[in-house]
Amino acid sequence: MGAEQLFPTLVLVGLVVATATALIVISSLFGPARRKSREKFDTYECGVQLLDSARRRFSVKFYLTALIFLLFDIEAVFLIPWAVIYRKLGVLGLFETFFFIAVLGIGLLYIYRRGALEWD
Amino acid sequence: MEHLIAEMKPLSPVLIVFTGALAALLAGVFSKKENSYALPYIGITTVAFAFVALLNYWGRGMIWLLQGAIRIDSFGLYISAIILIACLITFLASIGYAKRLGFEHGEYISLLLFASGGMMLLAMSADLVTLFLSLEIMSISIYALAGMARHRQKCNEAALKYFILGAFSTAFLLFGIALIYGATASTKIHAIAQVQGLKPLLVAGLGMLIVGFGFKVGAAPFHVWVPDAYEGAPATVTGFMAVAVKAAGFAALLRVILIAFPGTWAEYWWPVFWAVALLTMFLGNIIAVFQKNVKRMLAYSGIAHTGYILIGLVSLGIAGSEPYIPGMKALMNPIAGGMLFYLLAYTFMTLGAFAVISLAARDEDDLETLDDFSGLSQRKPVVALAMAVFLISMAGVPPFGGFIAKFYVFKGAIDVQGMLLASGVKEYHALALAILGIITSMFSVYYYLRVVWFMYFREPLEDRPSVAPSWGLHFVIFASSVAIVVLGILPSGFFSVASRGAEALVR
Repeated sequence: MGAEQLFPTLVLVGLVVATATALIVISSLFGPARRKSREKFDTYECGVQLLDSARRRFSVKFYLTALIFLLFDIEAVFLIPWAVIYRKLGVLGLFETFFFIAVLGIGLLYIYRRGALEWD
Repeated sequence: MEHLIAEMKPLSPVLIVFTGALAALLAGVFSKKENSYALPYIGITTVAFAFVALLNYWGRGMIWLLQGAIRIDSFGLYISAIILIACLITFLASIGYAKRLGFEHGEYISLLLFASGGMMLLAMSADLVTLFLSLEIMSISIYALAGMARHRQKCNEAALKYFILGAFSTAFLLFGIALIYGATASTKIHAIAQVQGLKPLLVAGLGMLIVGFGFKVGAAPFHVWVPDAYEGAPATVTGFMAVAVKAAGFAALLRVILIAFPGTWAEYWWPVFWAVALLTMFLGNIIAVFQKNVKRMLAYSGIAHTGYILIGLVSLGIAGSEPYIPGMKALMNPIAGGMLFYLLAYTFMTLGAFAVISLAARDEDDLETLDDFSGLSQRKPVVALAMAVFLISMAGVPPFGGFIAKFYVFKGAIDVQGMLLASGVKEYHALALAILGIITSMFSVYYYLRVVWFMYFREPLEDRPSVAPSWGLHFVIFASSVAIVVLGILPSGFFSVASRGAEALVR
C-alpha cells in the first residue's frame, strides 16, 4: 500500500479534527456567556425532576431476562436470512436449521427447568 | 444428506463431546438432587467415547472439512488427545470435591465438556474465523467455570478478573484477524502464507495475534491474570485451566505462526518470542520464589513453563529463517515434537499437583498454604509421595517426565545453535536463551523443593482436619504419578508420537 493511497484518509482525518476544533472555538467565542448553576448539572436540564439516583442495586433477574432475550434474539437473526433463501439451501439447509433450533430448544428446556423463566 | 454425514464423520470426536455436554446439562436439571453424584460419570463416558473416535483418525493423514474451515491432522488430534486426558482427569478429581464445594451440578460437567469441545475445534481449525469462534466457546466456558464455587469470595473475584482481562485480550486477537484479512483478503491460515512480500498491515496483524495468544498461554508481559485466576478458582478447575487452556492456546499459536508465517517470515516473529520467552521464564520463576500460597506458586510456575515451551518456538523461528543451511530443516520436526512432548508431561504434572491441592485442608478451602502442607507425609504418606513426584518433575530433575521435556526443548535450541556455528553464522541468540532458561530453571528447584521440605521435615499442625479423598482422586494421583515416571524412563515412544503430531506443522 503506497502513501498516495492513504492520502485521502489523511485529508479526512484533518477535516474531522479541524471541524471539531472550529466548532468548539467558535461557540466559546461567540456563544452566550454561561454561568454555572445547579440546573446545568442535572440529568435533564429542562425536564422532569429526578426521583432518585440510578446508582443502586437491581435485581439479578433483570440481567437473566436480558440474557435470555439476547439468546433467542440471535436465533431470530439466524432464522430470517435462512427463511429468505431456504429454497436454495434445500434439504441440507432445512436439516441444519432444525439442528440449530433443536440445540436452542435444549437450552430453552434447561432454563425452564432451572426456573429462570419464573420471576419469583 | 449423505454428503453431510460423510463430511461430519471425521468431526465425530468434537460432536460427541458437545452432545455429552448437552446431555449433562439436561441430566442436571431433570435428575433429583440426591442423584447428582452420577453426573461426573456422564462426562467420563463422553470423554471415553470421544477418545475412541479420536484414535480412529490417528495416522490417516490430513482431512479437510467444511470448505477448508477445519483440518483434521496429526497435530490437531495430538492436542485433542491431551485435552481429553485433561478433561478426564478433571472429572475424576471432581468426584467428591464438587460436592464439598457445592457445585455438583450438571452445569459444571456441561461447561467442562463445552470447553473441551471448543479447545479441540481450536486445535483443528484452519480458518481464523473458526479459530476465533472455538476460542470463544472455550473462553466463555472457562470464565464461568472459574467462578463455579459461588459462595467463595475469592472465586468470584477470580472469575471476574479472568473475564474482563480475557475479553480485552480477545479484542486484540480479533483486531489482528481483521488486519490480516485486510492485508490478504483471506482468513484461511494456509492462504495467508501465499501472500508475497511484506505488508505493514500483515505485520501489525501478526503482532496483535501474538498479544492475543500470549494472553491465553500466560506468557509475560500478558501474564498478570494468571496468579489471581489460578488462586481463586476451585482447584480442579485451576488444573484444567492450567493444562487444557495452555495446550489449546499453544495449538492455535503454533498453527497460525508456523503455517501462516513460515520460512523467512520467522525473522519478524522470532525476536519477539525470544524476548517474551526470556521475560516469561525470569518473571515466572523469580516471583514464584516469594509465594506463600502453593496455588499461587504453581500459577507462577505455570508461567515459567510457558516460557520453556516458547524456547521451542524461538528455535523453530531461528531454524526457519536460515533455510539455506543444510540440515537445518531436519532439526525442525524434533524441536516441535519436543514442544508437544512438553505439553504432555506438563499435563500430568500439573493436573496431579492440583488434584493433591483439591484435598481439603479445611471445610471449604483448598490445601493452599505451606502450613497446610507441613507434615503431610505423616498424615497422608502416599499423597505426599505423589506430590513430591509432581513437584520434582516440574523442577526438571531426572528420572521424571519433566526432566525429559525440558531436555528436548533445551536440546533443540542448542542443536540449532550448533548448526548455525557450523555454517559460520556468529549469532548466539539460541544458545543464550537455552543457557538463561537453564539458569532460571535452577531458581525453580528452590520453590518446588520447599514444598517437599514442608511435607517431609515439618511436624503436622494440629488444626488441619483431613478429608478422605474419593476413589477418583486416588486414581488420578496414582495414574498421574505413574505417567510421569513412565514419561521419564521410557520417553522415546511418546516422543515419536509427539513428533508425528508435529509433522502436520513442520516436516
